[in-house]
Amino acid sequence: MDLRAKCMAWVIVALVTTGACGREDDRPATFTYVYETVIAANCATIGCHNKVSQTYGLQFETKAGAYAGLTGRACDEGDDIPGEAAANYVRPGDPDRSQLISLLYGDDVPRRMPPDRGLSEVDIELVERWILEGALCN
Amino acid sequence: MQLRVTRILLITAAAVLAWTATAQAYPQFQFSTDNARCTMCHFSPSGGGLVNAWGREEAADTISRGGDGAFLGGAWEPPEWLALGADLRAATGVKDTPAEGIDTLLFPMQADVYSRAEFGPVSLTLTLGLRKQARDRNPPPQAYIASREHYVMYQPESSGLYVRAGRFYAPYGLRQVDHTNYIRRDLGFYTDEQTYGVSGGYLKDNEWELHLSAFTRDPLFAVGPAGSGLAALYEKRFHDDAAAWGVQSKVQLGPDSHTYWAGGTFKYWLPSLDLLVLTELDIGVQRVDTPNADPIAKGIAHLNLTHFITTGLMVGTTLEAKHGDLSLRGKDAEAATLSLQYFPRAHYEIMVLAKAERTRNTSDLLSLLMLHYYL
Repeated sequence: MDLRAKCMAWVIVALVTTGACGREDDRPATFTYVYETVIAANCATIGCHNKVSQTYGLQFETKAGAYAGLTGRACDEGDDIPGEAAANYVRPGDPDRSQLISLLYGDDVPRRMPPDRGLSEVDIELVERWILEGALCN
Repeated sequence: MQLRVTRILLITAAAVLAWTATAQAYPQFQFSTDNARCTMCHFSPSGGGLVNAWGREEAADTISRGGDGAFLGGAWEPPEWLALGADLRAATGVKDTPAEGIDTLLFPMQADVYSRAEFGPVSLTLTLGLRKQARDRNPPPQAYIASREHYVMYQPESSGLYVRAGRFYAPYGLRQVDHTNYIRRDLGFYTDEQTYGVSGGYLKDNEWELHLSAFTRDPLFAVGPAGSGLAALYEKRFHDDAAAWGVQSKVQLGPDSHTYWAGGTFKYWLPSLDLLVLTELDIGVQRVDTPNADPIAKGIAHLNLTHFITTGLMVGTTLEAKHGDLSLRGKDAEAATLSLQYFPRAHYEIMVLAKAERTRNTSDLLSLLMLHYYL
């Protein structure tokens, strides 16, 4: 086998078989981080919560749109604006009563989100931490 | 788990028996049909979309089990400056997830009409079609209509220099048809998320090709990754045009996040086994503009083996792995796909697919029957 093929085969095997280094999840639970690493890639795709499809009226193609849709608050109006998200997607400080978390785990909801490919548990926990820390638009 | 798999296989078999003829494939035909580069069969310099006259002949002679691959089966021939075509795909299947159990799917997958007008070295390509709607019950009107590609291109010959501007995917990696592959979905090439941009390159006969692109997100509907970027792809053939290696790189610059990808591809045709090997590996780094955020290292690996059982029939297996954060346990996922593709006549394709996907906290099973007709 060609040397290049051997190298690529070994890298692929390594990627498949390793479970990653396993450090503690100390990622920042800011909305910017949650949006860029979780929401944009998994929820804002074209057939889902996008300007095109607007499933359940939610448009996540921008960070501000995602924040407004999930919390019912405008990102640029500050964090002390009282209010509650439509459908109780996010209740700041209370992930257990936030429907978003039930949707992500697929607990007691008609359909798990995202329906085509569930989120990893560490990403759901990151969203929970963001809600627990006040669901700020930071 | 075994019971679920058995049930899915039974439902798939029943669905197959309920339908009649058809089939598909794509990078799998490079090398395996003695065509070393994409432009031998496609108008697009990076492959995909409308096929040219040679591609239509190949579709009948070497890919399927006969027929006439010409537009409308040869009943009417467009003028020489005009090329027309269409792709129609429908799918049915079942998905089994721990959270929801078995979910039955039946949906139109693709309905696109292609046109290409050529005026000397300049051509205008336009694709118009319907977006797939697998789940939405009441999407807005703009959710139904799309032009996946529209671009103007300067290309004096099928080899040599080309430049194009408009809407298309920047050439990168393997360009597999299946948009759910990690190398498409997780690298910014998900379905209907073509970017606008300018691309240029050089195709050195069957020896090598180079593509350089600058792209930006669709400004009207804001689909796909936010921001703009650059992409580069180089592919070099060797082993008497039966193998190729490639390298690619991509930079995506969004308002709050920058992502850098670099990777390689390897393609190898083993005629003694009628087997084509396609592999891709990409390593990425994402920087998120928020306090205390470390750079995120990512990886995606893709291995596809396609065995050509006989003319018009091929079986493929794809193994995929990805890590959303190589330093963090639990961000990995793997998938295995087994597919059977049958091309009974030119213009028709039937595909049966079973896919198992596992993440750290869930495992999903999908089986799909897809019917494809191209005009």
